Amino acid sequence: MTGPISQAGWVTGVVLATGILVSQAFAQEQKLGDVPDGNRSVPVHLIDLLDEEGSTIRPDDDPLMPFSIRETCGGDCHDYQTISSGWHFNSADSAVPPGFRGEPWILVDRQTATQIPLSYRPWPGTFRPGQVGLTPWEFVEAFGRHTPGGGIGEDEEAQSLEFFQRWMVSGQLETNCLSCHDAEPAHDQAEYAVQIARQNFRWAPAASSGFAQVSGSARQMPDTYDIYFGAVLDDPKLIPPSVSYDESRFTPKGKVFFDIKRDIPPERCYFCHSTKVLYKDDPHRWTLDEDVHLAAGMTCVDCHYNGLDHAITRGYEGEVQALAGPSAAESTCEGCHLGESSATVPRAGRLGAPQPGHPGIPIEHFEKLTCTACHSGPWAAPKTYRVKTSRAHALGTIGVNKSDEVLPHIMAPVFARQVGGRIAPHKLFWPAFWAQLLEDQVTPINPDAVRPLVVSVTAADQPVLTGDWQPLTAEQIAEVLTSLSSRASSGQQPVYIAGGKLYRLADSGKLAAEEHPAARPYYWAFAHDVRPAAQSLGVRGCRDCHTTNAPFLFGKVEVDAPLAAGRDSMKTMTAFQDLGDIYPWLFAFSFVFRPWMKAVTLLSALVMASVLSLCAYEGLARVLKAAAGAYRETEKD
Amino acid sequence: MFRVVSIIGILITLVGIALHYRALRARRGDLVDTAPSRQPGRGETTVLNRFRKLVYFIVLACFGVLVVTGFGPALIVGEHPAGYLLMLHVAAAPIFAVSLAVLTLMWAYRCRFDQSDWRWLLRLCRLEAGNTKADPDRSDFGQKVFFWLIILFALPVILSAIMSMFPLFGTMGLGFLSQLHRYSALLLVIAAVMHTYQIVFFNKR
Repeated sequence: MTGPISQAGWVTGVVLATGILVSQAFAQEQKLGDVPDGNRSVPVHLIDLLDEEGSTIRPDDDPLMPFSIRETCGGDCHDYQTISSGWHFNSADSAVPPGFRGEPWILVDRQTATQIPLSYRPWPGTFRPGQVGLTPWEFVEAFGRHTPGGGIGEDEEAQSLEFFQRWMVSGQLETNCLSCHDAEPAHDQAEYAVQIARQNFRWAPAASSGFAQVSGSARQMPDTYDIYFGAVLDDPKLIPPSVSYDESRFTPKGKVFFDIKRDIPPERCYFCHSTKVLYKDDPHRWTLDEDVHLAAGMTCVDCHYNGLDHAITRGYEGEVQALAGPSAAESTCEGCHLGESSATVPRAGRLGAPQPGHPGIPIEHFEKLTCTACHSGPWAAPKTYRVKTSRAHALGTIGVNKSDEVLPHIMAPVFARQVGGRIAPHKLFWPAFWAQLLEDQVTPINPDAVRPLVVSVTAADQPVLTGDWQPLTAEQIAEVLTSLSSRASSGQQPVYIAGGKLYRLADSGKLAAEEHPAARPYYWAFAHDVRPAAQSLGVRGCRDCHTTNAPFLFGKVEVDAPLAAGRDSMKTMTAFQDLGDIYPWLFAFSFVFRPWMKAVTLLSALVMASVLSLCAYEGLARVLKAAAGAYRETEKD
Repeated sequence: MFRVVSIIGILITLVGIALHYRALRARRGDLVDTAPSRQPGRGETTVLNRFRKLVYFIVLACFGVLVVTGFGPALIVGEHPAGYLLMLHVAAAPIFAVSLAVLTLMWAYRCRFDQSDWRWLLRLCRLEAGNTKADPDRSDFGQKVFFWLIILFALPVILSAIMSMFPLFGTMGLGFLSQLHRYSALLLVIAAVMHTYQIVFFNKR
């Protein structure tokens, strides 16, 4: 059979070849650990350790290398690339929708009276790290402590050449699966933070794993340091980074057991997602309950779940628009407790979620408030609390300043109107930073650049042990601005932003304060801890919120600033709710008369019902009379 | 939904009134002499009568405020009243309820259906069979009917609002009460418009 191949034969061949290629490509994407077979037990992770070159690690190797997450977890079993595109790692990816405004990274510099919100996500009110002069390297060094690695920490395209040598010494900060999935009791995320501070990026996952010890510091190594060949170090105190493993953890075949959990324990989430409320009376820890869902035995990932892409649901209403698929809609409060209205089968009551009764709560409340407004955070007080968060205050790390006054100063709960119009509880802080003003656009100045000036004016070179603001006077600000003016480019005007005001030098040379969008407070909604239903706003009736001094409407929000003159100023909660000043007060005041109104109106209804009943009874009697013919007889009479 | 139903309901009522009025004019030419013989308190100059009129106008005024503040947002933007409109609505509501209760006490006795209404109704039924003696416009039967309908519809309007202020009903129940409030208010408005029409055009002397 040597004749020419028919056209049909060609087509069949091309289709078959395409099918084989596609199926092979598909098979390559579907890695061993990414396709569950349906067995609901947890797979045992007894695996080889691989270094960043993909070589198997044995405890007697020389040099002994830290294991690489990319190779160890992502080698044959998991699709590292897909996982690394998840929400915790994709902040710098401009293609990812930013979603609801979240907690930013807050760059704090006490000496220059700076606390400024940063984010690679384009959240309104934040600045990109590059705008304040932070390179990816400096960003990772400053904030990598409370990340699970990945993202900008291993995005070589985003990393500037300026720090190329340092990246070579420190290694990439790979996506660290263990940060979340490791149930090993000895797992130490604080040690991870220590390694970040030492610039031991490639060693950080091993150091936190619980079966490896890392010593030395890449920070102390010269740019020419090579991890395989070392470097000649003049100072014997300088110790190059190195790792040693607990040999007892290796099986005779050289494998190591990882206690990996798909259902991540809350303790892992807590490291980066803890909030401490600074109550004035400092209650004992055991008097503070945790989130009611966790107390009931749930875990964070029961609601904040994801697939292989690790596009974890954040749980806010409207997230379904940013996150494809039905999971986002189902992971909101309503999704679990009421059921998603678009679901084709009943989905309410997932995980035993009780259906709320909300007796006596007018339904308008559900249109104007989020569930969290009444159910989440600390019970509202006449004045907002200050809170500390893991990421803002480096909670959980070694050597952290535990003072209640330490910057940044974050206030909560602030009941503010969010995108979409509903009122929700927020955490809030007032940005403070030096900046250049050009055509009404504010560009922050790197604190490093302004520090010598500020220190020379304020004598703030001595640390304040509490970590609180270095107090600034108007004269000191004016002096710094005057110095900055002499260095400013044409058209630019140096300004200082703090406490909701923009300060600049007036033509008279005096300091002038004004409102400016860049000076607005940055606030982001929070949902935890959720209180029990019996401790929700409204449980004692309307007056929980509808009185003329109810914290929900008339609570005071601290306006925080380093300026001594403005430190005690407050804003009323209604300022964040777009309700004006008079209406909320009048409406709240009307509730004084609400019981009378109920009584009088009920009595009126009773009178009307009585009259109606009486006459209806009389009418019915006549109808019966007429029906019996008696009426007609009466008429004849 | 409510917005559409309201607009249709109110339009039908107004069109019905217009048609009725037009037909009446065509038949009579002048409505001045069509007043019924027994209107509550008409012609009296007692203090009680003045008080009765005062209460009636208070009811009308409050009712106007409630209609504007309640139906305004519903018809214009399809939403519940909010803000100052809601406050005005809530402020006018108890005054309306009390004055309507007083009005009920003062009007109920005279608005009872009696034998003359029965006879009139029977004659009206025979009208189509050739009886031309019964003039449907020469009775206060319509006013009585709409008076009682006003009381009947006012009760669910008032009770649905008040009961929703007590922690008795959950979200589903409150949703039902809210709908009950809206639709019974619509019926109340229609009844009130009809009653006012009857009074304005058949009560002149």
